[in-house]
Amino acid sequence: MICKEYRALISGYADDELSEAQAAPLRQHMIDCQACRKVLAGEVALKRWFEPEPELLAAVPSGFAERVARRAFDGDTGEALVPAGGSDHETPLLQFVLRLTAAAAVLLLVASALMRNVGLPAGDHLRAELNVPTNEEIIEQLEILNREAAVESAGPAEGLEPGSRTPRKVGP
Amino acid sequence: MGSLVMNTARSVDARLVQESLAGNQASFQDLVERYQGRLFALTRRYTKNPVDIEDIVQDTFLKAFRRLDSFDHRSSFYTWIYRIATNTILDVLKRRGRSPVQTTEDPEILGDASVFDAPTPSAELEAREISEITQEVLSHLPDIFRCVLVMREYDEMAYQEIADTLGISIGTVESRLFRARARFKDKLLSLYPEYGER
Repeated sequence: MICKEYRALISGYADDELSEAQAAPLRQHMIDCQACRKVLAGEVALKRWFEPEPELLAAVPSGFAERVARRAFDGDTGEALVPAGGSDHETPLLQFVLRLTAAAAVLLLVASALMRNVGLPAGDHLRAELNVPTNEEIIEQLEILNREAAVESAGPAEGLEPGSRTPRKVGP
Repeated sequence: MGSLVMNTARSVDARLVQESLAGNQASFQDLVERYQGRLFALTRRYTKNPVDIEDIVQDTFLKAFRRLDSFDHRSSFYTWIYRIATNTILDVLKRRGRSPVQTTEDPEILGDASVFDAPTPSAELEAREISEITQEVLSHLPDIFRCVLVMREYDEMAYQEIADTLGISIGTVESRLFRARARFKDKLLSLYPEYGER
């Protein structure tokens, strides 16, 4: 056997799970193999973290055995004692309220998602409700203004003092 | 001497079981008193919540009472009730969303991990401190590994007993223990790096 194969047996050796036929050659191997001895030392060292704490055995609530025996003879099967949820003790009423709340939250989410779309542009084209002039109307307005400006630059209009009307600059 | 004590314990258990089945509430109470300390200790390895611990141990005894007529005395009463307790604990943990006991091994965890150069608790540490550190480290391990470590290291169960309790093969027990120890060592060193410096 090679070292790697012996290593696979070391956990079982430390746990006293090997037969003598398996343990004897491993012991013989470890006499000569420092690395395997070190692995065994590591296994043994780790076990020291699991030494039992003596007072753990004594910490039982008073009257526990009597209560349990009484419940057993009262027909309590114990199946319903352990809560299935994430909290410590969820009563049926609490479970009902939690489910109701969850359902309401889902409905609220759906409703708010639907309401967000109301009144907003749909599709690829914007749909504005404001009274905005068309391109043709803007061009026509610009032409009027340009004509007025041309007239004014040619000479003061009849009835107007020079400089009393400044032509508006329109367009780029 | 040891086997005599064991046989006496078994015969006492057998008598209490028979009397409980015959309707003697006091005998069942005696049976609970004989094993409640060990089951409380066992359950504390898995959860720190005292209400949960009491619920689980109570649930275990009530289930045991309900199935008492199926106890065939081939194993010790403790082995039998231990199995009920373990299944109850794992069921509760699973239902509460903790890492479940998986039927397949986690392939990414092994690597070259081993307990080579495993840290040891320093001589100054009290038993309680060691226990608190160990519990903290164990609480970070997946149940699949914590379970076999608790069974082997605290309850000193043989590989075959662990296999029978969890319904897995001895080879799987060996593999899980090896991985569990490696995980324990890694988590210990990550939570308490001071133990890796010596």
